[in-house]
Amino acid sequence: MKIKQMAAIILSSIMVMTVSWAVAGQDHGEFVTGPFKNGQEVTRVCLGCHEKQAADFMKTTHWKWAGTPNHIKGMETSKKEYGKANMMNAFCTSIQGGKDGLVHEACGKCHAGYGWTRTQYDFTRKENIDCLVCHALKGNYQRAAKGCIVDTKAMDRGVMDLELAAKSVGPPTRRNCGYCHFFGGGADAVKHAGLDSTMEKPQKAQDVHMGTKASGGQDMTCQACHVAKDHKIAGASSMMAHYDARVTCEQCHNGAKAPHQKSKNGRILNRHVATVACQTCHIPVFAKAQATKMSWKWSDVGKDIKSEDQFDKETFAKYKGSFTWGMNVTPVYAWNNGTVERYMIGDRIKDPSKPVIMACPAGTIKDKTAKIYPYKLYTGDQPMDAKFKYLSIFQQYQSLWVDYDWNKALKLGAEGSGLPYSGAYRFVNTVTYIAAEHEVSPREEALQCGECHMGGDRMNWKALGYKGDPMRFGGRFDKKK
Amino acid sequence: MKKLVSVVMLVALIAVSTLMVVTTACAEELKMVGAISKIEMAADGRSASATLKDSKSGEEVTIIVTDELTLDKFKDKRIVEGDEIRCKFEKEGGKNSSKIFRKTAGC
Repeated sequence: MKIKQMAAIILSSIMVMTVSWAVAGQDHGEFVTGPFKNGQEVTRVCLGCHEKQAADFMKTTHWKWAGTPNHIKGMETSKKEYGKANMMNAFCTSIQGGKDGLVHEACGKCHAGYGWTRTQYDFTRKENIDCLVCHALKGNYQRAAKGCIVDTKAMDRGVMDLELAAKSVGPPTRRNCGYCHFFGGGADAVKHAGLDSTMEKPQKAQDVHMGTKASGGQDMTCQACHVAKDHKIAGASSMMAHYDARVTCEQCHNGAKAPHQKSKNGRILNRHVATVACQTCHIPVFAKAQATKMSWKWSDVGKDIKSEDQFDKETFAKYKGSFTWGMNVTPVYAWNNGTVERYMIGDRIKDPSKPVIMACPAGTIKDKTAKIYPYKLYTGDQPMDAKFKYLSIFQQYQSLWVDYDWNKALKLGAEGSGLPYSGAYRFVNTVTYIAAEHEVSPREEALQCGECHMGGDRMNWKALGYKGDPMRFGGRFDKKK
Repeated sequence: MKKLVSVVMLVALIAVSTLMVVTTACAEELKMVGAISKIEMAADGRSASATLKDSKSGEEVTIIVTDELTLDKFKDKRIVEGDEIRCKFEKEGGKNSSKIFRKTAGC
């Protein structure tokens, strides 16, 4: 009996140690020795043990910036790959603007690899993987603003220690993921709803999951929800074509942790779950700690407009146009069945007097799989080809931003993208629905009944396809409507 | 007697509230963009003073930073001397307390 007990204790200890080691990460200090002059030298050391991980990583969208469009309605079975590499948005629009992909040398700052400075790039070279941007925990690892390399200037200034960064590798922290994802759209708090640099160390009131322990939060890492398998990370941006796996609240909130168990209105709330996404009630507002960009008018480039201050952000920059910002923004709501409708490069614009939908959720009230989700409604304008009737790609980085000459920028953009430019352009309004998935509020701040029902105006019931407040007119699954 | 105590209490409450409002109103909120010329961390690591050179006036302004996120950036050199900063601070009693302290960088 004693031997059995001892064996059980030893086995348990080994299991605990193994799990702790896997979670906390192996100390790499003893394996990694410098000095290193560049990122590839570090990667070659990593490859000594991590050939498989490198091979896995090279299959991901973080490496390819493209994947099969399983997220886009109507394109789910397509084998062609789409992503940042060959799609466009209403922020900096495209990475294809310019002969031989000139823009890559700046946009590539957020490619998890080295050297993608031009269109042609060898995606088979493992030593070009940037392991450190996701895994360095110390040493202030930085990538250069241009050139898709380690920031050697920061090394020279003594601000960054590449060897320390290499020795410190471990599971990514919020800071690692945030190095790119907090700065989506080109700067802090521009693109995503509720995802900006303040999320590196948020208070519980800002995000109940990622809030620091000191503030009463869970201090969760990104990958606690965005579960990774073979370097493929779960999650689906509402603007992107591909996802490897989905992130759902239910992956944690089930069984003993199922929602609303302690709520006095638990049964009523649980009836909502078939129609209303968790985020809808639990993310009542977004951009809680820093304003997010709500609109961007490219048509104002080159104009002399006085920049105002809105939530401590500028409303105009001559080289980029004018913007509006929002803080503590109430989302808009729309049905989503898990896929999106997406403007793809070359799509014809039927009626330029109406806004072009760059990305919006697919689904209607009649779709039983769809639920109501919250979104940041981002608007703007950008150039379209007046003759060919599609959104044009332009070279902003070293053309428009330098001389504000649209014709020249559009010609250069056409050379890079292969999308012809007729010589005539006009501006067209755009609309993008960006899912609000972060900044989940503490339960006390979740929406209350009266905010949507009994006169509450948060939901536009008619726009959602109801006759009116479903509390009065009946829900979509009620037998009598 | 009870009425008198109530009145005194009410007057005291109003006086304290007024003082609080006045004190708050005294604090002036200012904004500036400028490069950092000096950063000094406090010995306990819980605050720092950063001197910024106003890009418009050229005037040097020293700002006290206490928020954890910015202090972390000072400690691990994500914000260093020479970086351009957009700052909002509250001027009160000769002390400038940072409210927003962010790098201007972005494409």
